[in-house]
Amino acid sequence: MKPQIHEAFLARLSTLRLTTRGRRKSQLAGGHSSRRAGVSLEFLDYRSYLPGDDFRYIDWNAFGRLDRLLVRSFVHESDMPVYIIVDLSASMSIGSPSKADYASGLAAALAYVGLRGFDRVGLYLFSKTLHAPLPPARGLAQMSRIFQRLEADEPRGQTSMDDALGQFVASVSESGLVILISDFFSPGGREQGLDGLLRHGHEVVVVHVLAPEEVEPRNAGRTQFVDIETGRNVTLAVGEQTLAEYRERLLAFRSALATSLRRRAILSFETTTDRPLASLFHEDFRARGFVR
Amino acid sequence: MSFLHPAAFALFASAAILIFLAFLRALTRQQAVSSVALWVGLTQSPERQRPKLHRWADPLLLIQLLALAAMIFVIAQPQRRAEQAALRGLVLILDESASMRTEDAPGVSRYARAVERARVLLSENPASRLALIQFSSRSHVVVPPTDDPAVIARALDDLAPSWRGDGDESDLLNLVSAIGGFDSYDRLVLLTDRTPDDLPASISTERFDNGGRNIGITAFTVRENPVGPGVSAFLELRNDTPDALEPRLTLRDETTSVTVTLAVGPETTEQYVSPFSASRGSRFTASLSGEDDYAADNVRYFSLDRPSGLSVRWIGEQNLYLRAALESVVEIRNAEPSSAADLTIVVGLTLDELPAGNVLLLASDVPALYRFVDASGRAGGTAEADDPAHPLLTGVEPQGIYVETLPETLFLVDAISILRVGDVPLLSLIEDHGRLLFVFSTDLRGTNLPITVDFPILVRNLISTVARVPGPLVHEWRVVGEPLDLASSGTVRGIRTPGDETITPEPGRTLFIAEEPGFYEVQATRETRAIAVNVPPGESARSPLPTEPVRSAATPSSSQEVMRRMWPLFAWIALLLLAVEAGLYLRFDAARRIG
Repeated sequence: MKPQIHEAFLARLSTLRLTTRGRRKSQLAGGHSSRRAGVSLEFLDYRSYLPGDDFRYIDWNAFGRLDRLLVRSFVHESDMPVYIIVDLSASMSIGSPSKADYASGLAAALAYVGLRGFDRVGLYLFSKTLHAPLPPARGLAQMSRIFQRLEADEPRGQTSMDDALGQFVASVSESGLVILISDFFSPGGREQGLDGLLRHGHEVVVVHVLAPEEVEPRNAGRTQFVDIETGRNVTLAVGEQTLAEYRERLLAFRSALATSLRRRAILSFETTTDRPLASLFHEDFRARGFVR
Repeated sequence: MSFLHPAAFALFASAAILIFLAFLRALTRQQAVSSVALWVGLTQSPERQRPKLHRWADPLLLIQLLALAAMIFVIAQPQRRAEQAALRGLVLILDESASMRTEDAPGVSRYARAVERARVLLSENPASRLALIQFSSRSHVVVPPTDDPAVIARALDDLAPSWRGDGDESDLLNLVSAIGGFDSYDRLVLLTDRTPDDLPASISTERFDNGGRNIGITAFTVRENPVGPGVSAFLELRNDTPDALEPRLTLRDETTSVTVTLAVGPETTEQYVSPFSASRGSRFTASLSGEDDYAADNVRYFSLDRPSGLSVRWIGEQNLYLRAALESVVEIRNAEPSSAADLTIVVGLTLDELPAGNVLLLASDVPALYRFVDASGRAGGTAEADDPAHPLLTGVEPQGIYVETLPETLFLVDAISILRVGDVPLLSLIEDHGRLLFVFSTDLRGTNLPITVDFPILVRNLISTVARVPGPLVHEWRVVGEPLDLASSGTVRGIRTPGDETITPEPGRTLFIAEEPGFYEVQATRETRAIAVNVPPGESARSPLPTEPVRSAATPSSSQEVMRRMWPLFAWIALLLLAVEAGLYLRFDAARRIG
């Protein structure tokens, strides 16, 4: 896959941070939700003060020297593993650019945002099962590893989201932020997988990726439609009526997915591969508080 | 443009059917989708299902039709008229001499290359008058003037090189005159491996001589040993290679062979004498071992007329000296009492009646013909000859013969004095009613003959008068292409060739042309003898390359209308179109399936 991501776009992402909702778990004893002073927290680094930061962590000494508001960040505060799970089944190869290329660019951008925010970021690719997972880690080296993994793999095989998510849940011991990027064309179902994530305390964010050709097909005449994952085919004489019915059916599919995710309080976004990532980040992600 | 097979255009009818069907078929695209479930069961559009005529033409179909049209044109064999420069006349002259058998290139003779070149010249030089001549020691016209190149081409298929020697330029000129003369032809091409002298400028020459490696026998004769049994072979070897060689030479007669190793320097001609003392035969073959580019001179033939044996009857004591001398010349058989002898030898007797046949009387007298006077013998001396040119004295030096004592002989009949000592006959010859009587007046012991070289020569000369032994040692080489004179053999019943074919010459015909090397057995009333025929030794010589360039071809003097076939052009067009169609199909098909 070729992550469609440019340096200028990355520069705009450098000021963004991933946010979460709800409670977080931590490995540190005593919990991490307390922010009382005096708690034995491991100092990590300084960062610029952003509106909304706890002013108790402002380093006034640094302000006196540099005349800049800097906030001390601690390991504990930053200890939020981010699991980016990308669907690499054969259906993700549809589209121009393909959904897989778009998803890999999105995954790379999210990983960048997370790593810039000193989060531990991991990458998990799947089709029927997980493909050689990359556990969460910090730093630029992890960014490089994520890029290499995204470039090396190609979409293949059938989708089994339940199996893959089940495998993911079993492989990680720490809950975190799970960002699931997929077209959700999974014959094997997805409900169990999603429920499994939630049961293990993960905060799940979903990005539903579709190709514009799938949303608005322009077929006409006799066409043999071949399922790229199963090989099953059907031949239709496509006309306006056919397309209208297809759009209804797709809308129903999308609505069902949105309803399923909403019922589980899963933050979800929908996009097509012809939409720039920058637009997705700044208009959708930021508007709905996924990033700040 | 015209067509040889216009009926091929009927195939266009089938193309029309294909076109109609192609336009009628509904075009089905193929598209991959993420989930076919979104499409299954959707309402189809009826009007999209019906076959209909497309308003547009599939570009691939157009290319296929063009390719089909090109192939139909190929089948129809189109041709067009064209003006082509033509010669007034073309004469192809092929050197067929034995040296053209040389294989400068492995397995390919110069002659074969010349024939291929002749085909090219024939195709590249259309002419209204064509002829073909073979050039050698017996040049001849193979194809007289014709306007049909196919006749020349067929004749070229049947040609082969001969064993003859080089041709004579004057014969060639005569042949050209016989077929119309130089003015009738724009181009005359001689295809040869030599550079003939004094060719007219109107004959251009193309050489086929890449040098090659050759070592061969250029001379071979056999002589009877004057002293001792057997023969000696005299050979000349020519080495045209840059290397010193040591070929093995094998001499053979009908029953015996001997092999010797010779040393020949690079690019030299050497002469050798090889003894062959065990030989009793008359047909000799000399052959060289090893392979070179010109094999025709590696085997040579020589026939030496030798008697198969001499039957002798001894009357009186056998003279050992005489017997030894006889056996050195020829195989001696004692004649059966009841059969005639070739020679009867009487030693030391007085006969009242001579035996039949030829007789050698050694210290014997026949009172009816001659008698010895003064039996005690007169003092001898050195022999002299009244007629040194007598055949019995060929190769004999009488002054080397010394006689101690000899009786005076009184002849009562005419006798030819061959040798005498003073005025006393030593050796005389009496021709008696068709037979020969040799009278040697003294016993050999009273002479130095037994220890002289002259004695066996004298005996050999004597035998040759009573049996078939060549007296004068004359070398005579007969070469392929030269006529053999058979008149001396009498009426020839048949000639067996080296190829074991028996030819019966026409009655009265005394000349025979040998066309291949080897032994020709002449079966005649008078004798049966072998004649050795060889490839001319001159064919072994390497001719230096000419220093002046080959003369250029003549300018065509006229033009002629020819029909040029165009099917190769259309065949290439068809292939190109099919390749383009295949490439486009693969590209379009991939695009259809991706969707």
